[in-house]
Amino acid sequence: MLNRNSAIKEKYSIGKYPTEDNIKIIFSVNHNLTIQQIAAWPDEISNIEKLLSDQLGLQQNIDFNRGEILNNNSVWRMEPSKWWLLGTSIEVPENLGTSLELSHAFTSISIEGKKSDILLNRHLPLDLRLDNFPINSSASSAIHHVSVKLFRIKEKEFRLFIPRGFALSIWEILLETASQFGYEIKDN
Amino acid sequence: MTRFNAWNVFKNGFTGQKNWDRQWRDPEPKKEYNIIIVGGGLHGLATAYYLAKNHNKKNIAVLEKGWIGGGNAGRNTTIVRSNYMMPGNHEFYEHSLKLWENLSHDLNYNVMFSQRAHVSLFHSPSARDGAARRYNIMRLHGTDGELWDLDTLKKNIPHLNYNNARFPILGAAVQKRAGNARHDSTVWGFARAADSLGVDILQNCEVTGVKRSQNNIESIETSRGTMKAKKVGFAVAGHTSLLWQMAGLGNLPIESHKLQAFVTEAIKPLLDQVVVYGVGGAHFYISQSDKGSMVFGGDLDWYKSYAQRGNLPMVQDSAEAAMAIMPCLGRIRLLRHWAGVMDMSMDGSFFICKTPLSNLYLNAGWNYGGFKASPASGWYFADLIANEQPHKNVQNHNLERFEQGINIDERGAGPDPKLHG
Amino acid sequence: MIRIKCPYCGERDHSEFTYGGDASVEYPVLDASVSEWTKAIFFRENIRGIQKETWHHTNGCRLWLEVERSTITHEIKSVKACHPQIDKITKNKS
Repeated sequence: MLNRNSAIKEKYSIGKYPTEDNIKIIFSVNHNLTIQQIAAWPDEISNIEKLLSDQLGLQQNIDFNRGEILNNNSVWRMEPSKWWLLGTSIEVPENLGTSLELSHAFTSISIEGKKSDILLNRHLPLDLRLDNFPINSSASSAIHHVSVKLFRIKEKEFRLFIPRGFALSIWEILLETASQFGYEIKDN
Repeated sequence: MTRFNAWNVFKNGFTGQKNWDRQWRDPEPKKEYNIIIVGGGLHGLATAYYLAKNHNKKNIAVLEKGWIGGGNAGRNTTIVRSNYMMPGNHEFYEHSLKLWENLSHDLNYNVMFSQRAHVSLFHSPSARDGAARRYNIMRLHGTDGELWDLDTLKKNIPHLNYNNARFPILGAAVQKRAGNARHDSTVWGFARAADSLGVDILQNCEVTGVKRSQNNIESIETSRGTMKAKKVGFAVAGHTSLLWQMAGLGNLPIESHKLQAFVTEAIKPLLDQVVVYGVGGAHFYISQSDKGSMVFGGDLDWYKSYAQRGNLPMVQDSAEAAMAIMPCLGRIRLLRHWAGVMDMSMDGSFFICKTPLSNLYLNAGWNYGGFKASPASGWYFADLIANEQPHKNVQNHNLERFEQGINIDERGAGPDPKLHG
Repeated sequence: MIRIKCPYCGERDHSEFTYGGDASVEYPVLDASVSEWTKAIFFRENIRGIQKETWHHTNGCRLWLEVERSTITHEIKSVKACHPQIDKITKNKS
């Protein structure tokens, strides 16, 4: 496998900011993540759902705007006919849909901590309250005209996916916003 | 009517400037006119003026549903330029600029035309090549145009963002004869001049129906009664499609979109030119009014609408663009923003043409460019109505050009009206 | 801000979407006359009132949507996915 270079490397300085204490946000970048996008032909959506549950051992189909975390990987419904597989991949028969390798297209950032939802809401016009956006929810939206994907892992833990070419500028914006809460950039 | 001149201003000074006449009459509608122009904006008023002045036509009425100049004439950013490239367009807009240069004298009304230069920034070598091509074509046709390098630009406009712009400024394409004018004065000047040549300006006179025979318009029904007309001209940018359908003529190659403009609180002299910024998705133009307000605008709101009010995403985009090129505006307060309804045509160019009805003429599809075009628009539309055939400069600005494959698409954006910015 | 109820993502700001155009236009057959094609591509009813139009949820689920919206008040009457199969499954969910 290629030795991957993080898109935000030049602005990824491990440490606590602006001071050592009162840290309410913790950032870490997810290196070496693999993303497989599976898109079903519109008439084959239920067959792709079956394929996913057979191959991944899902108990039930992944609902709209939802995901499921398995052992070392996860599967997320991104669109009515599209899924993302993180950390694993499966064979997709051509008659059912298409498979696209997106591992190098996105920068994935973990955002945890007491103020993680507040930080995100400084930029994302989404209702992130727990009953509206529960754990294992997924959403697509935009920060500063840049398309982003957001997953909720825990109540105060999110994963943000930014198109690689725009990742650095969004990262800078997030850090600037986070400095009012106190943040830490962690080695991952 | 009393002419404006130094002697009359001096004379009226003795009576506190209270003895001026009404600037234009408020006549009762007649039952019949030789020519009815629907639309009392700049284009309609200019058309009536040039019909009377250039072609000696009598018995003309201009119908306006609200008050004159209350539509797009009062909702634009008042920029006047002629940096057009396509055949037909450059002759037309250059003619318009020439009319502007003498308009205050011609109308005996100060339209405050200020040739302060139109400075169009470029940010990449390929944008500079594009500007060189466009401005060379203009020069070959007798329009002024020049390229400024960075040093010249810095000397002339010192407070643009030369330090840390995401897209560094490399220079500018400049038309020095371009500038801006006072929109209300232009409306009032045309109205006053047309009125003094006998044109009836009928305000609060909304067209409610068009009565026609097979090939003709017989009469126009309005909120102030029915009027017969030998010839009718439509000049109602924004709402052309509605009038067109009222006349039973079907669809037009036009969509109505709204375009916002913004004005800030007044500040001391800051910007002595019209500056245009366009790179990537950004589009922004700014100048300073005589009162000191910064007047600026950007793109359309991107969706079809007849609402004369702007939406928030474009406020954000325009503010971001302002900060990108003039960070010194960061703390200025916005006073107002509003929107006008544009006739966005399918190729971004206008229509001055005959129609399927023998006595109906169309003036429409002004996209972003209606204000600067208004004197020439009136000039060529009057010429068309009087001579019953289009002048060679506007011979392709008709409704047939799409079927004939001779679209006049300055921007090369294709048949998507919202993209012809 | 116009808020569009995306059948997949839920209610979102219109700035996430791209306006497509008049959804009532029907394209003629490929070998139709030039004049029929000209009408379909260049001529519009330009409705002042409720019109059927397309929007693309560019910064969202990327579905093309068919929206009924007033061009005077911007009020939205209905939203559905353009693709009939996607429309069916999104309707089943809601």
